[in-house]
Amino acid sequence: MSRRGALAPLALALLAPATAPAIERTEERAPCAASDPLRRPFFGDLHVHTRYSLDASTQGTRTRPSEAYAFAKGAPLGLQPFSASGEPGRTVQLARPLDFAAVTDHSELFGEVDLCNTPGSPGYDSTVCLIYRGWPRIAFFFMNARGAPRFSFCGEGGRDCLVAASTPWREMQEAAEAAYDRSSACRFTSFVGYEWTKSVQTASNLHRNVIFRNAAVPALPASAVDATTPEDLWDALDRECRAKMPGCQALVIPHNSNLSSGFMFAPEQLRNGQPFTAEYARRRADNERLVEVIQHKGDSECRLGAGTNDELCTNELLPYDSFAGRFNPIARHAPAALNFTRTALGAGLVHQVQLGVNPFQFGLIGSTDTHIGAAGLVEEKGHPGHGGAGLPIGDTLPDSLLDPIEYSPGGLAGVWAEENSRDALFEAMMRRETFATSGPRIAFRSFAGYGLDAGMCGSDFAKRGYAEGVAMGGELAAPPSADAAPAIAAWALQDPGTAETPGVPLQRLQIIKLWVADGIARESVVDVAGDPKNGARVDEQTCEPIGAGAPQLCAVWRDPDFDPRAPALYYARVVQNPTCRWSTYACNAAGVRCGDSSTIRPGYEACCDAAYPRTIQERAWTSPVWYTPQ
Amino acid sequence: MTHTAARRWLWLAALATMPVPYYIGQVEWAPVLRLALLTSLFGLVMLAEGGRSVILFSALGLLQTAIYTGLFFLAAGLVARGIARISEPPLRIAAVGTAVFLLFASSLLPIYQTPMSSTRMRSDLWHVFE
Repeated sequence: MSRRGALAPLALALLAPATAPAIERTEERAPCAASDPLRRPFFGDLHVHTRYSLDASTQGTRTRPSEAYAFAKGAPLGLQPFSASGEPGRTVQLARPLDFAAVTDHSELFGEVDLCNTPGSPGYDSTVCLIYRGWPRIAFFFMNARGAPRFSFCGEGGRDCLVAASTPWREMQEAAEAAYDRSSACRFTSFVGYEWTKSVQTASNLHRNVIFRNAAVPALPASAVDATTPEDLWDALDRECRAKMPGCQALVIPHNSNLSSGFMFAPEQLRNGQPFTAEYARRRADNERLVEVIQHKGDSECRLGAGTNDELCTNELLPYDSFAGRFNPIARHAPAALNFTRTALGAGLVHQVQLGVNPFQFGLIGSTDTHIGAAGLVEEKGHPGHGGAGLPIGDTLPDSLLDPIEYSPGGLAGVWAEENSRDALFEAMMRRETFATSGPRIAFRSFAGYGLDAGMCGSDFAKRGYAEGVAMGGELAAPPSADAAPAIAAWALQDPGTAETPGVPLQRLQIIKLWVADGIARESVVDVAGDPKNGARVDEQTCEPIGAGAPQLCAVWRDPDFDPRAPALYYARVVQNPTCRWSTYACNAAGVRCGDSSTIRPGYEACCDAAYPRTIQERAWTSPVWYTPQ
Repeated sequence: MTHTAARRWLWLAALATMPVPYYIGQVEWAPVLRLALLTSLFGLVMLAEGGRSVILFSALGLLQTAIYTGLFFLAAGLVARGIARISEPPLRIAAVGTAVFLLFASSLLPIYQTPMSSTRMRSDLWHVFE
């Protein structure tokens, strides 16, 4: 750790603006009054479903895109069950508005759902639509499973459904535009987006969200009916967005690799089953610069015992590796290593060695995948269930847990950007300067560089990070000397919470290093700050956290085993002190005491299933920084 | 009451009320009659639209419906044979009537697990066709 010279602060001040190049402006809007060259953390949700998603509509969701954005900005939202007069049985509201959000309805059945709900439309009286309206849950299964060709009521070549799809797609764009704050206040940013929803084999998930930079978007979203592989999706974006629409830019964000049966990060191209090529790897890395690592349907970082002995890889794990396992116990298989992002990040380094290109060079975000339109609703206490593949709530609120016990409220996307505008946030996502949280608004960032030292934790963390290193999501330069080793600087600030629900202190900060040795990806997990044995716990009856933690954690860790010939990456993880899981709040509220069977009502049996923890350690992850030997 | 009549009443009551486990997209515990309804809905879509998954679900439903219908027919026959040993005809009628009554009475409680229902996870006989 070197002592800085007297002129260093001045030099850094001069360097700082140069490290934050001007944002490329692709839209007309008022300049933001507040803009920080050292960037600020913004929290959002890039995975939100409304009534236009089949699985949401067939379980009673009525939320329109405009209502989802209003909810994200702090307005209350009525939820099913609805009375005959349309009064919601429940109302939810965010304690703190989000900074940004994207409604990402499933693009596959926009038109079909619209036709089935529009009296007089072609197809309204078809068998499929009659069942959709009469027995929506049955329709969920057979409509979801339908690929090409489209239903016959869609007309020749699916024409009527494609025409009808433009109605919800237009509404989604209009809702995004109406919600976007183009004033200098820059309070809220909306993105136009959709979800491409392809599954293979046993409903193994390949789903990806598509987020557009601005209002320049294709006439229709690409769907898995027509674009049947990820490569087809990238082709469609090249053709319909980048080539055809001036200013159109898109980001593809895979999610739920934990439900992919290993297909999400399989080492073959999905279009032809061939091994990766350098060209394929380049296209994938260019298109898929982020991955959603946590959401309502579990944590996709890692799983203890599946290629890792990391003791913290036990967070919000699903007991199955595909949607088939969710609905059919016979199809339940514990997810293998290839389902997880850490394995993929390591495999990417191996591909880098073999192909010269890393196809899995992605940053990390979290989101909710809510199917009730409740963007950013991540509170454990009072979790209403996010629907979708969860529990259908029709006419009555069931007296039971409101989500399958293996699900959770989901996470949030964190983005470090100069200001809260589409251009600034999108550029931050493109450079992967993002982080994921399992829900709490933990501000988390990291830098890597050869000259970083512990002094930066005291002051000028970001200024020095940008000036002397590379921000998370970036690539480390070659070492300046043969004996130089990179240092990773990571800083996390606990979620301040609200007056009603104060934030929870942090317990420990870790650096996860992946590298290649003998052609195999290796990993090490190092505690760099905090104390894993700080004695913090939670009273499971009252859910009151007990014990102290840190309001913030900061460390600069220099890699003692750095091999300049080996590709490597580093990302940081921080965990809070323990808190109650959503199911514990719900089970306590229902009066369940596992020692007394008379208190376990039907619908609450899972409360006492030892396979599911009663407490969790909320967490956040930075995007990695990569090192590639020259 | 003849043996055949007793068997028929018991058989129909069981098909309408006895919860059985089946899989047709999701596992449910509900009467065979509900399984038959779900199968016919999938069957209607199969006839109208075709499609691999719908054919699969229809076939699965049909197979399970046939198996349970046959098993209940055999079980009803066995019970009816036992009832036939009762010498007094009014008592035979009372025995069959009591069995049928008990089946329908219990079916009015939310004893069925119906996650494929659009309205409720647990249903009674009144709501089992939703």
